[in-house]
This record gives sequence, C-alpha cells and structure tokens, in this order.
Amino acid sequence: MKVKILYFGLIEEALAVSNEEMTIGEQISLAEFTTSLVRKYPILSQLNYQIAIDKKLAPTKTVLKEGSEIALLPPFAGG
Amino acid sequence: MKLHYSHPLLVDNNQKMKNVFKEGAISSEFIGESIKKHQSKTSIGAHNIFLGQVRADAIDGKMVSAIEYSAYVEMANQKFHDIREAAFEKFELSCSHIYHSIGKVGVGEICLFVFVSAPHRKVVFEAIEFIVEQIKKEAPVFGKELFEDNTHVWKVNK
Repeated sequence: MKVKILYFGLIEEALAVSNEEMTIGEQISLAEFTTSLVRKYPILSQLNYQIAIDKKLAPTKTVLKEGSEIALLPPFAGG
Repeated sequence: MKLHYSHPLLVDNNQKMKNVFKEGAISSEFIGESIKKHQSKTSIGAHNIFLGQVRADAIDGKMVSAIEYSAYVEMANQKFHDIREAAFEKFELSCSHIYHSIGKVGVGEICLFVFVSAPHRKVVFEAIEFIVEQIKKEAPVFGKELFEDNTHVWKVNK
C-alpha cells in the first residue's frame, strides 16, 4: 500500500526532499516505518522531530493505513 | 457565512477551516482595521492584543535580519482552530482572532497577531496568554533565522 511522507523545515533541508510517496507492507506500525526511514536517511538519527499522521501527532504504535499522510516535524518556532 | 466573527455558538462546524496565515509581515494598518471592525460589537467591553515582533538576535556574532516562516499549513490551521475553541471553552470571550505570518518577515516587523475580546477585562489577559503559549507549543510552524550574509539557522521555541 502507498503512504505519503512530508518533510518540513530543517528536516526538509537536511534530506533535500519535501515530500514523497512510498509503498510499504500491510500492518506496519509507525515505529517500524520510522526505522526503515532512518535506514534510508541515516541523518535522521541525529535530528529532532515529532511525527504526525493525518495532521495529528501520533504514538509510535499507530498502524499505518493506505494513504496515510506521515509528516516529520522539526521543533516548532511559531509566534 | 462570513468567517470574521467567530463566537463558538455561531460557528458552523462544517465550514471551511479558517486560514490563519498571511504572506509576509502583518501590517499596522491591518491591525488597526481589525480593531475598527469590532466597534460595531457593542457587547464587548475589553480587547487584548498580542503582537509578536521579529527580533534582531545576535547568534555567534551575526545579526538576524529576517525570519522565513514555513508551516504544515493544514495541520497548523486545524491546531489554531482547536486552540481558539479551547480558549472559548475556558474563558468568557466574545471573539478571538489569530493571524500568523508565512514567508519572510524582517526584523522589527510583526509576525503574530492575537486579538481577543470579551464583555469584561479580566479574562482577556488570561486568554491572550493561554492562546499565545499554546501557539508556541503546538502549532507546526517553522522559522529560519536569516543573516545578512545569506546563511541561516533554524529557530526553536523555548
């Protein structure tokens, strides 16, 4: 199944990509997905970020769904 | 439905999410106009306003000349909406508005405008602090502090 990944701010800059689509297996948790993402982009292990699924911060045990929008959010700086 | 006035009892939940972001700096004319628009709402007895201004921070001996804001816009608009709803639940407010810059804002310019109104003064002080602190903590907005030599660092809220 396909998921969409969005990268913001410092993460987008470090990875030189703002968004991409990935095909992943069924019943993958966010924790498992993140592990494979760090394998693809090793620099992520040195960066600080939170992850939102479908625009809400999500616990790592969340199971991904077809079409999930996964966003890597570096520290906030609004205001 | 016009989105400007936003008492919770008048909000249709199916309405399109309000866009809080404004391209570039928030002008003093816009802020003045916002105040003027509330003069017809005569049950209001107190307004309070918070203005965030871009500071010329010195970082490693270099001066910040501007901040370039970016955001996860859809999530941020939902978050701003939730923060306003929470403020209406906690405090007896007549209305509340939030505007945040996106894109480049120079030092000395306004990047955040929070405006709350109520029949009486006490709650507007508490409400403005609540809203501003929630924005800093929860809104997925990112800021690149730009220096005059074209280098930058990423800002982090403390």
